Amino acid sequence: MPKILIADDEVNIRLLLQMTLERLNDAGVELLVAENGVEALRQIRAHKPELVFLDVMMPEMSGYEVCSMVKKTNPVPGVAIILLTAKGQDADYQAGMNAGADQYLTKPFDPDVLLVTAKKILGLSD
Amino acid sequence: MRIRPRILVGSLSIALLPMLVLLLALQIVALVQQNINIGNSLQDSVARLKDDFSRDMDKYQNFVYFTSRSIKNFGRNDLRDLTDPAISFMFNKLRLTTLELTYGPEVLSRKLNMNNDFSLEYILDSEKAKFYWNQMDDPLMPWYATLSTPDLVSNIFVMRHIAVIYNSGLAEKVGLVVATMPIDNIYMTDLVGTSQDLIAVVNVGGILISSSQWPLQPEAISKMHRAFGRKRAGYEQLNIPGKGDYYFAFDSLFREKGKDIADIGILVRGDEFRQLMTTNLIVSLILFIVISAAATLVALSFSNRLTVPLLDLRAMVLNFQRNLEMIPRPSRIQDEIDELQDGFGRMTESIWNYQESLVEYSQNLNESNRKLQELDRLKTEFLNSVAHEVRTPLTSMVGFARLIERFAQDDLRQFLPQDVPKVAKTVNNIVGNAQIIFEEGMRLTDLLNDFLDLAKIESGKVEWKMEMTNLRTAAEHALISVKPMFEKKGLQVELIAGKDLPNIVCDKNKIIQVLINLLSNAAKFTDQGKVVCDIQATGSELLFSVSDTGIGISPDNLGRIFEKFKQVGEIVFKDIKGTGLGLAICKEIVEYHRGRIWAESEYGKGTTVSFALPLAFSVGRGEEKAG
Repeated sequence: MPKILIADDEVNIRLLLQMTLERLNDAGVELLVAENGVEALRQIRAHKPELVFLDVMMPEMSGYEVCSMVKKTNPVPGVAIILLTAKGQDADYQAGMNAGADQYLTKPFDPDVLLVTAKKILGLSD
Repeated sequence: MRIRPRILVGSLSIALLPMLVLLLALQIVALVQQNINIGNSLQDSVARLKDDFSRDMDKYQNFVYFTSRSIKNFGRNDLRDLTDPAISFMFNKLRLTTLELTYGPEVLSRKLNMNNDFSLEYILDSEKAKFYWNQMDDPLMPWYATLSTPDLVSNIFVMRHIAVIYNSGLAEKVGLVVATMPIDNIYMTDLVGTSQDLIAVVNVGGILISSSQWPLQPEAISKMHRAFGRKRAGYEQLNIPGKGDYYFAFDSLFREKGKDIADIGILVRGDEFRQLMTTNLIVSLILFIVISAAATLVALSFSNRLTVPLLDLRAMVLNFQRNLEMIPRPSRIQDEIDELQDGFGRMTESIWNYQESLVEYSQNLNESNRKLQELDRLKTEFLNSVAHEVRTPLTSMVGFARLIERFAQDDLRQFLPQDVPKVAKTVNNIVGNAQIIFEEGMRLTDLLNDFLDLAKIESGKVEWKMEMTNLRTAAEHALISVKPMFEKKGLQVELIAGKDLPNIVCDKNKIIQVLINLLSNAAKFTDQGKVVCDIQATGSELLFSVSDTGIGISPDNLGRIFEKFKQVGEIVFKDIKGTGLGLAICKEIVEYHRGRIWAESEYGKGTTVSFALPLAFSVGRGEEKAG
């Protein structure tokens, strides 16, 4: 059962992501939710989701730090991370890539695009 | 005293000093030499005595008068009328004693050589007491015709002068006049004066004929005599038994035809003499030192009068340099140095005042600077806040709009009967409205992004990442980005770029941003046809052109499209969406790269927006182009 983790400190964004990705429940995908960086890291280590949508600006620990931990410091294999951010500068993009992220999406995003991306990564058909 | 006279006096005294020193040094040298060569000094004395002797001889002559017929005494008065100028001279000049007959034991014939060519011959016949004389050519004879033999005279050294006496008609010689001068103690006394030295005259026979002081012992005389008779003048050190050691200098007093007639010598006590010399030397040395010291002091004093104030002034200036201590203005201005100090004083005062003002200004500036930096920081924070705080609700808005659309499109259509017209219409409305919300939300996002971009560029807050870029690759990237947009509208897009385009240094992402913007604009304003992106390399530039077959831009608006919030079409075609900032941002980006951007259009036919980037671009705004 593939798992997707949603990590964002904004309740509305969490709801948006959940509602967008709910469609995948029929394909057997389980959704996990975290409200801050520390929680996100714990869940990743505990459940090892195949895909993580990680907001960059979070309290406790930023998305960059979580990504860095998961990808570099104490790698958890088989976890794809997509960073979501309100910033759009090249420097932020670079920071994301340096942290080891697989993809980088700027807000606001098109939920359709998000869904298609998730399906692609999990290897699910349309 | 003013400087110029001061320097003059100082220089003069300094110039005189070496002269004085030199003079004294010479004197010391002379004295030292004298000390070394005492004999020479004695010899000088002897030479002086000789000269005195020659000069004063005429004082000491006596007369003898002879006639041919009879031996008779003639007194002074008899001689008074004689016409012989020599006789007259003798009469007037000399002391006269009457008749001194002198006889000699032998006949003497002598030819005397006088000055010039005159000669006199006479014969002295002592037995007959007769004098014969030869013819005489000229009655005038020089003074120093002499005759002296030790036998004729006693031990007294005599000098004689002979003159002929004529009668009044100058026809007949009537007699001779002989002037004689004995060298005796009267002469010696006069000669020596009060000198403590012994001056002796010894004749050729070795007999002391005169001496100024106490009579010498025979040993002394014989010693002296040994020294005498030598061809040259000289000196010796003598030890006279019972008397001590003496210095003795001698010279020939009178010679006749190369033969020494009489010698004169000076005898001085050795120790006395040396003492005298030494005393002289010491006195000279002391004088030398004293005068040197005095001259040095004078020179120093004058130079100090000049240098001390100058050095003081220099110290004050240095003090100001180091500690910023003000130079005090002198209470009285007496010379140029005081004037200088006064000037300096006023300067330092001014500097102080300026400094205080400067400190104040600088403090104000610092304050302003701080405030500006604070404002700048706030501005950045503000921009960042805006970016984040606005995007978040926008994300919700846009996202949920899309979800509503999805729910309506997929689920409602599925679950509600579509054959009921009202139901279908409602669902369509929901879908349409949701789409509008989504699109407007995205437009708001674009506007926000453009606004933030422009703000960042304008405040120089953008980080430009300049690197060597392959423009063909960049253009391909841009095309991929806009492809969905073109596909949706059914438009074609084409890239024309040679494979050998030169790479240039630029901010890759920003140039891609420009291309995306231009291509998007082209797509927006074109309904059908093709959009072409063309990249060419000219001699000095890389030329980009994006051409479309859209509505075009009127000539009035052509120059203004790069301004902010200006967009052609918003007036005529209200459904064309755009932010109006895009081209302004492109302009900023292109101009940062020292390029230029422009547009060409034919209203109704199409538009071409072009920009050119220089091939040789050096990093950073404001620097000169390389190459």
